[in-house]
Amino acid sequence: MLEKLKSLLLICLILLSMVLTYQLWFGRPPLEKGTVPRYEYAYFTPPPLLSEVVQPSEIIFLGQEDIYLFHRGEKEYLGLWGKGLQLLTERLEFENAKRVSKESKDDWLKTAPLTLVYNFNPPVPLECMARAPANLHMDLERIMFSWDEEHLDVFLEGEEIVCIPVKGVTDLQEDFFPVEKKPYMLLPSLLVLDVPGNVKIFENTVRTGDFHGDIKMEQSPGDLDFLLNLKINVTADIYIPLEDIWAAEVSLRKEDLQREQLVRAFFLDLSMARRIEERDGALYFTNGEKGLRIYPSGLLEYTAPRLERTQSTMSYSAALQKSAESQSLYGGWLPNTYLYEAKKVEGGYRFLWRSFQDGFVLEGENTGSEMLINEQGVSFYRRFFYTFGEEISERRPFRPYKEAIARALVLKKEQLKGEKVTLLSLKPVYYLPGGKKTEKAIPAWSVNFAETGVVYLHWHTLEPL
Amino acid sequence: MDLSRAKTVLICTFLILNVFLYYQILQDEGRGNTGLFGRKEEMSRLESALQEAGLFLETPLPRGGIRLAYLVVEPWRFQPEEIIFTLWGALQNGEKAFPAGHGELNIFHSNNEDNLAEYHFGEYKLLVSKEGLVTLKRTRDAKLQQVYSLEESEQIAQEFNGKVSFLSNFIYDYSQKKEKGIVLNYRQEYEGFPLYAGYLQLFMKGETPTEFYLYRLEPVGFAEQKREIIPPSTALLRFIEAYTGNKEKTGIVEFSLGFYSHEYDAERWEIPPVWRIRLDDGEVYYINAFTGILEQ
Repeated sequence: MLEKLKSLLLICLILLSMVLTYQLWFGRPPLEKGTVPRYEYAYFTPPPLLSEVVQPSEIIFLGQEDIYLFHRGEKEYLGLWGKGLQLLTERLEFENAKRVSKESKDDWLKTAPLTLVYNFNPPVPLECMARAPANLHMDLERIMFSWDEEHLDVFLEGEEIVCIPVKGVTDLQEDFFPVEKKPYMLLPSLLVLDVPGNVKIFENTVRTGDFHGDIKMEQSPGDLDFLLNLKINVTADIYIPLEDIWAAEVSLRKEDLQREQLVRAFFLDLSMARRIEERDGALYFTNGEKGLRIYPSGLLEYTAPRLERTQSTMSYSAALQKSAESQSLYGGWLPNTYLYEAKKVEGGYRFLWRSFQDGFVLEGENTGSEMLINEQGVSFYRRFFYTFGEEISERRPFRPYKEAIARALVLKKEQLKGEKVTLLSLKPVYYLPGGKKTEKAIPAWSVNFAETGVVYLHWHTLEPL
Repeated sequence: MDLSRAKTVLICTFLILNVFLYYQILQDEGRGNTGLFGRKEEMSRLESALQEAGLFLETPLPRGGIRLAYLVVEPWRFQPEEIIFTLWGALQNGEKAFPAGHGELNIFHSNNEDNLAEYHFGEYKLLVSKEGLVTLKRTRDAKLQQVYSLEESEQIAQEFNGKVSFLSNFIYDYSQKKEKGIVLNYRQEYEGFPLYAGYLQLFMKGETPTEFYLYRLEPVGFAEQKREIIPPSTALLRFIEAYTGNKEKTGIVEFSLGFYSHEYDAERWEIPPVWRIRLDDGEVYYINAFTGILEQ
């Protein structure tokens, strides 16, 4: 019995020695290799198709006499964009593309009875919209669908212009004809505030008593004579509605992001990010290399300075794709959020994404998101999204555009030099005022002169916001 | 020899062998080594990386393989006037007692260009940053001072710290000889771990400090979640990758584990464990013991 026990013990000891020898010899994997944490792609929302978040800034329907315009966030726009995209992706034969000059395109469009223009601002890489051949690489500024009685021509305009004829789509013409018609006019390239009109503008903008502070009541029309001599150059195509634009103040609700998931999205795991409670109530998470600050207001700011210093060779389309995916990861996508601005900068590409409602963009300090991205990843991200709620004021029409222009010029009179100004843009927007009580979006005219910068004016009183 | 006896001998032999092997495994884990192959490779990688960077180890690498959590700290809350009153006695070396009605202890307060609160008293000025860094500077050159050796300066500084209540629990760290005089570095400690983030740097010339930099923290405790720290060899490799250094051969005189982060203007924050690497040229580097990132 004892001998059997001894044999058994000996076998056990031999086996144990083999196990221990193996462990000592090969050991565990080196910690630097073995403990690399897995990155959990815990997306807040699924990565979108680029065509869902990168859309034309406006769709213009040019009939023989009428102009109709549609903006992001409008129902009619969605239908037109869907049909346009479908035509672009399914019916367009890129091998039939031929390069044309700007002049011949303009001549062509002049005679076309019906044209639908999709304006992209900022321009968008063609490959983000459709599967185009490699030799047809361009950043799209405009897509134009031009019908005559028999056929459809599609013009793609970027650094160059190509024309692609499409056969057998005459029946589609009716599909593209807008149901809801909002007539617009194109501002002339030189705008002068006419004298009879000015009298009315003065009446409306100075004497009604709507204003206080910056325009004193003792001002007379004579003090505003400079407006009469001012020549306003309109450099871009600015379309103004012919009918009244009705709008009301809208309540806003800050988005509520799940903090733990957010920190996990930016860092490899929660334990890698140390938490710092700042005196102003902000929470700061850092691993020594990158930092995420969540302000008490809900504003989120992420920086990875090491990545910012990287020289970037990333393509525009790759950057755009990566930015859209990153936004899915770092808080997700809210409905009606679109690309608003794109710029090539030293450390990669800078993108601004903004929310839209009823065709108006929500503008104001820190609204939407801003992202700086390169092949190494996101080096800067700021995010502050709101969701639109109910109307909280009486619906009123926007004051006429000429009054808004005059008002902006009066406000910025000191910055004007000479008798010429350049109007870069003029559009109705929702404006989010700064300060703590910013839970509502105010309709406003956004007037942008090259000489003065952007001025936001209350849509009904024209008070500066 | 009969079979039974042979079995007994073999059992004893294997028992001893297994104990030895197990001890070796424990030892290696403690050092953060990862098997003979891994260890050899890692050591040769380390040696060549050190050589390329112009560095050499003057100290053995410490043990790794432990689990740690972040250390939660709060800033030290103080009234600058209280610091001044406490320092006054120690700086005057007991010769001038704290005068009633403040006497010659006139305190002038202002905010300077760097947004530091500035206090003047006697021959000194005290600067307080919003992060809580306290800097004391002598505004006038002292009369001819007796020259003291490093050991004597350490002794004088120790006595000075003993007289100042908020400095008495600082622990001597290391010293350097600079143009300004002897620099004595002290640090805080929490549950046996050095807290490098809380420090006192004293510039000694003669019998009293000519300058000091104080950053004191109030440790709250360790965070809940513990995780394994990177072994010293990995930390050293990470350091070498980040080290730009100088062309001359430089020695690593200290390699130790503690807690470090830079100063924050915050209510409460977490400090990571770090491997501190001190070079013989006076440079000090901190490698985050969780992430391997150089803390800056």
